[in-house]
Amino acid sequence: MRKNLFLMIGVILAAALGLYLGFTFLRPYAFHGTVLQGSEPVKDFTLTSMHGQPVKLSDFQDKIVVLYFGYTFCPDVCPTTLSEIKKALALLGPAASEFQVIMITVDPERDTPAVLNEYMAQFDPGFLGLTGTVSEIQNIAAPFGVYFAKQADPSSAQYLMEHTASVLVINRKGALKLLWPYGTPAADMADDLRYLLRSN
Amino acid sequence: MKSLFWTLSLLLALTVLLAACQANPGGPAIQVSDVWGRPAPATSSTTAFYMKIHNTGQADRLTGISSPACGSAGLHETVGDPNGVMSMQGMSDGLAIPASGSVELKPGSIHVMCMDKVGVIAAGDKIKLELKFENAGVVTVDAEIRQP
Repeated sequence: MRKNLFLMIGVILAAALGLYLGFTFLRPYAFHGTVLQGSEPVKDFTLTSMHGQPVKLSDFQDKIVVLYFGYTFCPDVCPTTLSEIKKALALLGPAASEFQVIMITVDPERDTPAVLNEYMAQFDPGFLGLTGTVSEIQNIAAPFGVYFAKQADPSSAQYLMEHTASVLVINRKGALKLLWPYGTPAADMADDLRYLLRSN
Repeated sequence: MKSLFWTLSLLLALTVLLAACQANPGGPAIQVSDVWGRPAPATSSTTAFYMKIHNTGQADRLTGISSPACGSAGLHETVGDPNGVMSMQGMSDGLAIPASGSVELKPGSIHVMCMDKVGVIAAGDKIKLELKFENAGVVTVDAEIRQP
């Protein structure tokens, strides 16, 4: 009788442990960013790199691309976002080499390759800045839902840019997978990238 | 009669306590802390500065900023719309600092925008900023330059 009682308690404990482990490890991963379900590869494009060379998106097929549209004159939003991406990659350790961070300028008039080169270097020498003509960049940005326009600044002779400040993630199949709104913390980005690496 | 004595004593004690709580009596009403900015290479013509402004006195207003490192400097606020489009708005009326309150200038929000930056601003540098307040006058602070 006593033996049966022990057996029953054992079975209940094992079931509870099983349920706990099941809920912890088997539940589907919930992305912090917005998941974009299109499996079609995004249209390839060619722009000029900060080293003055033509660069195609498809050159990075072996990487997961973290894509941002920003500009170097931007003192607040762009450096905050690029710093956060840098911190996220640092959290990934050696796996960071699986990713390519690309910033396409939305202000090609001021962002020459040389300007981009210096600007990107202050974040990470591996980050790539790309530029082109305004219409080339508009054609690339629009399908991503990225908008930008010049904005007059009454307090200065210089203009600013208003721009979509989300970060996009493109998987190795070239499909747009994820969008992080402005202000996504580095730890959340790192979680999502870690999961993409496992599932890609 | 006894209870009146106790009530008066209590009121007196509370008054003394309240006066003691007013931090820094006689000192400047505006105190600025955690002043920092981002590095910016020679080719970059802007950077931003952030800080915390504490006010122990009457309501005040930050109306102007200048720095030897910036051709011009002004208050800007980053604002976002529901579609994720971010833009900056100049704060031509300055920044209200509430009485006995504080305001934080931080990334993605209100910041000092440094335009026509002079030279290189590198990590470890100290950049002098002159903050002009309506009541408190000019407060000079050093911004520590660092990557956050």
